[in-house]
Amino acid sequence: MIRILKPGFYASVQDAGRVGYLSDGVGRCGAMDALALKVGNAAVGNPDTAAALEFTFGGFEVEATRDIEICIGGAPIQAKIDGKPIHRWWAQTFHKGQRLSVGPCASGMRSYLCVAGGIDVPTVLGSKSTDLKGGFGGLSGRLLKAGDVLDVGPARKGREMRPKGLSPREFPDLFRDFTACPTLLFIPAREWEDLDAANQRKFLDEEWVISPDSNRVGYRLNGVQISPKVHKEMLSHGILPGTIQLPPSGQPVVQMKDANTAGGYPKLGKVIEADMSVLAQVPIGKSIRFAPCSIDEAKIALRTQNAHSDRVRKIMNGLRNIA
Amino acid sequence: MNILSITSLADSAITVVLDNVIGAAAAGSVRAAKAAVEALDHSAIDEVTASYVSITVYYDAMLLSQSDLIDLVRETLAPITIGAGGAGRLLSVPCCYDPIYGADQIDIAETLGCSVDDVIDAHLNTTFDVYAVGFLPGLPFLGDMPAGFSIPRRATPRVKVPAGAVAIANGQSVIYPWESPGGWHIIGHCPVTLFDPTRTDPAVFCAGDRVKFVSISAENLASAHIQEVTS
Repeated sequence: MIRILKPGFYASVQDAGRVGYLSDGVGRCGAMDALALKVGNAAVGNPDTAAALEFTFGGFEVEATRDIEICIGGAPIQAKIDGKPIHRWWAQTFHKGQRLSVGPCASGMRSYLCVAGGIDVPTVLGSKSTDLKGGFGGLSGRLLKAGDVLDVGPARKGREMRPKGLSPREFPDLFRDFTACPTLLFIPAREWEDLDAANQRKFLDEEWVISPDSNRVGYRLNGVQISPKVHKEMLSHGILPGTIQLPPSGQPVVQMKDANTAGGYPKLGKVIEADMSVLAQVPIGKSIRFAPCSIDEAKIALRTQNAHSDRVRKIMNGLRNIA
Repeated sequence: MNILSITSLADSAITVVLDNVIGAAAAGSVRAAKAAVEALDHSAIDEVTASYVSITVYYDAMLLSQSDLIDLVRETLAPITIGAGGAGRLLSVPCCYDPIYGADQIDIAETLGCSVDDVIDAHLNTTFDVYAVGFLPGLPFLGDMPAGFSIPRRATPRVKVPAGAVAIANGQSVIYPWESPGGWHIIGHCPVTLFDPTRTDPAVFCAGDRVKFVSISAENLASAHIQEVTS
């Protein structure tokens, strides 16, 4: 089990998300940085979809109440077990009574603590992810607080494990920092054509700043004013995480994992699945750019990313067998 | 069935627009279309949601191309008639209109230039269509209030609307399943749990249902429940 000593700014249990209940008004939820969850799970030998702890801005501390195998992934952070530095993207044993303390994120925004066996909370509507709007899933449907104790699912019995993990040389993408302004690919949606060439240009040229009132529901972007040729009143219809909307303010909003299930604002497009993990790590106050792409390019990007986490799984399984 | 337009939400979903006017006719088309696409039970289709005049079909682009999905949806909907599958369930839903639960009753009546009883009667005498469920888990959007009973949303939304609040705005009505911020005018209270994540069907309402409110007294809140009316 894991005891939370300091949850940091915003911590919750998340897995790969909840599919199948949009028509009941239940959103997908799930890890904001889906790639980090996948790789972290692969590192400790879990299925892709096992639940982990998502922390925001670092600055958290937890204690092991029995020996468990863990991997910390996501944003660059300084992590220590009982004062001794540990690596990101490494699997290692976290012994009963030891404390893992993590400093603030050097860049990026979200860290994942993956545990062999997964965080064991009840599965609600097919997922262990926390749905804060509905107050269910995760640990009692709420954010984690100091003193919470989380069960860990059964894992392979193994011998004492030496730390092992991924190197920055082999996986530069996993170790990059998030200080540069990333260009996110998006697939244009119907209302993209309602922008004239000048406004499309403005949208693509701008370095959009993530506003402070951004959260797991949506990222509000600040920059130049984007005005459609015609202002369309649209009836509410289905939307998803990644949807880029243009409210009347002319400042776009990107729906994130806790997105509402329906909305009526015009849609400029949708950030491709593979780049949602990048966006999840761009901190408030930093900027992003957009570039359009085709559905085929989005598929290739997702395939490449999946191959990436498959390779991590293979490498870590190999290391585990020779340990 | 006539499809007005199909727009894509990138590589994840398509929205199929079936009507351009909100109302019972649109609700009928939407209900029939959603049922027909769900009945395909296609491995690449994750889920189908219904809204006022459209359905949205969520799919896995790794398993099915968007053009194939669009062809499939067109073929599926072409032979469907609007009345297919019959009318939705008719549910009788308890609502307590006691003034202590209707914080905005007087404001509504003043704005509309009628009596509080007129507003309550209009609400009680309407058979609503559930146009969509969303915004919050289990929250039903119900339409339409009779002509003359449409009122814009509050200029300043409330920070907290209590769970169970029955409210109206823009010719429609909602029931808040949870305490939440909200801008609709509160006229009553429904004491039934509208969303329970431990149930297989967590939400009480689904798009396509019909709703008739039944007035209950404040003393009878505890025993009130939602009933399906068979006609």
